[in-house]
Amino acid sequence: MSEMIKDISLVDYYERVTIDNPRDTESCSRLKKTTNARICLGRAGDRCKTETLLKFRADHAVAMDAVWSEVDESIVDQLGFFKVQTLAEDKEQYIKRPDLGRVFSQETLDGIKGNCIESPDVQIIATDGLSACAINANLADIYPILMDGLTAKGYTIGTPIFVKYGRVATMDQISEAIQAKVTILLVGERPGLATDESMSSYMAYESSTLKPESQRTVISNIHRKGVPPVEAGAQLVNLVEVLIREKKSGVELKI
Amino acid sequence: MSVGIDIGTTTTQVIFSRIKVENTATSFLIPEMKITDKKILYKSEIHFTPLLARDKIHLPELKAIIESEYDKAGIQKDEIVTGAIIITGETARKNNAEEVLRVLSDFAGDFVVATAGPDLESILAGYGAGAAEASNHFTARVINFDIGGGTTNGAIFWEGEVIDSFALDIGGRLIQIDQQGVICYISEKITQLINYLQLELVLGAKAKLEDIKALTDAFAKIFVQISSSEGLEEEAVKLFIGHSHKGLKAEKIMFSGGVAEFIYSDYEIGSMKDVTLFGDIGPLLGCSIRKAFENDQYHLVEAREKIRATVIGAGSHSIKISGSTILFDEDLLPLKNIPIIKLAENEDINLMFNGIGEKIKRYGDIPVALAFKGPKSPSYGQIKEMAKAIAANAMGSHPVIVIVENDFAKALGQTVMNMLNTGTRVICIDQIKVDNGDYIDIGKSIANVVPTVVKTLIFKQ
Repeated sequence: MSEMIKDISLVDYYERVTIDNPRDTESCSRLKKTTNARICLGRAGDRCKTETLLKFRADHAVAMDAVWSEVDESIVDQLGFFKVQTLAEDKEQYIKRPDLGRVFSQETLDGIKGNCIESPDVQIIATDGLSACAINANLADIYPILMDGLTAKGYTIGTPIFVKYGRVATMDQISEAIQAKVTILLVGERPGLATDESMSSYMAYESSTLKPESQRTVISNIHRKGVPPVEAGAQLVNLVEVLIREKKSGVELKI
Repeated sequence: MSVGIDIGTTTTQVIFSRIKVENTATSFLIPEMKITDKKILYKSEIHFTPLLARDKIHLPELKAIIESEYDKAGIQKDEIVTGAIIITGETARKNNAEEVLRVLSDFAGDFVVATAGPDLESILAGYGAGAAEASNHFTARVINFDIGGGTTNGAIFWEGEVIDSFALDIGGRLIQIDQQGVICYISEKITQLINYLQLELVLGAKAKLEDIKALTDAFAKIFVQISSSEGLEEEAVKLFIGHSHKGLKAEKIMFSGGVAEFIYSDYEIGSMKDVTLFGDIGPLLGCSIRKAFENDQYHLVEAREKIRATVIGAGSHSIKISGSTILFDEDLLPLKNIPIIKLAENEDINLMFNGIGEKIKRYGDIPVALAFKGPKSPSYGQIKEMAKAIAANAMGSHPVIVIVENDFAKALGQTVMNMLNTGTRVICIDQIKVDNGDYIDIGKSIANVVPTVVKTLIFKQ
């Protein structure tokens, strides 16, 4: 492996084998494609190679950056989202105080009530969660396909809401405020060492602060190397149908 | 429950297997339906294929054989969800082969695919013999030769997938010999080769062991040359049916079919008497091949199934399950023999769909399926563009059928449906790979996925 690597984050390590003179590079590549584990790395004496260490640190840096990243508000503005913020005042407080990321001030809740459509069949919410990068990467693809599908099925759709510094439980308060039947929350997942773009979709029927966490149905791993966002959007439309038909969600719902 | 029926040059076999489809994803992910188990429940006896004449299959007798196997297995026709009937080798070239397939597929079960064609047969035999798994196990290119009575079907597998398939006019019953050692049949397919080798093998005359052996040794040499991708002699190249092989080198070699039973045994043919015992050159061919690969034990691996490879391939490997997020209309299924128009990949979606309307029209007033690979994770804009192009080419009363390789069929199908007026039905499935000129059968759904069979037909309409 003598060629120069200019930017380690641009190399596809799902295929790249860094063993010196492997007997069968093709087989190693094939093994690598089957797992996210860091294998077929080679070694320098009894330690890992510089390249391996750099890649690990680069991936770790991506995850760290993702947590501190901000959602590009031009994306949510373009899609017509109504923007609100939790009690967390800034990113640092949001990270240090998970409880503040779950609740709104009375003022904010009044603002939601005053500005958003009441009692819709479906309420869509997007929030940064632990990776704003996930929202930046996926929202523009999943949102329109979701809207197309829901509109075609004849559901009434609420004003989409973007929550800054938000965690999953914000969906319960919003649902209670506007009396939505089904609430869908799109949230950035806690980034690991594989990608910073993975998004989850939590949904609940009559989402409520009085119900346990098990009220929620979830699709995770939405990103371009996992479940493609457009396909997840289409699947969500189907799930909305099921939730409305069965009048329940989460573990109560056997799909 | 799945059935496999193989009607070969020499033998006819039936197997029944149970195929289990399960969700392999955890509950926080989109379901991922996969075939998790294939269990063979019943293997029939190996029957001789009944013939009326050399070029005609005895249909009533064949039907009786198959009926009796259903009885013996204790399986009702309506238990059969899927499966395949395959007419193989020289039998596919018989005069009434098409009629046989039509009659039997109606008889065998609702979604039983009738098919023939040397390439598909090669692929199914390879799967049945275990070559696909072996290619994963050894991380090697594995070639399987399925040597039947009339033809040999070759397929090379890599990473569990076929990378080449071909067929040759080599088989155990191309020369038949009566009990007196007199040649009572020589296939015209090999007369050129016999002349070229200057062998004294003449219809109606007594055969000499050394002449037959020279022929079977020549066949064996061809297998060695193909698997090591050495150049073939001109006379050998003529034995390919339809098209030649790609010339890929294989690291492991496997044999299936009736002749293979002799390759992996220690049966010896010492005299003409041994040959006449079987009435054909099959056993001798097996011995020649065993000897040709004798010094090459490292490369030769034993097939999991030999004489039954093709029928097992047909019964349990012909089915592919679609992706789990797809769009279909249950009332329309099953769909059979849908011709496929494969679009060349192009980043410019308009260019990709350019001229498609013309191509669809060429098929006349029948439903066709549009197939393409598509981007790995398409954007909303790309989905919209693809859907627009597909909707623009929708044909009146026919359903819109779209087959893509990457995982976005549900998004695409939904978008197409929203663009069309409500009367038009849409089927959009993914994670199925097809080629131009293929035909597809799509079965009724099982747990939100559909079983499909992709095939090539040799009987043109």
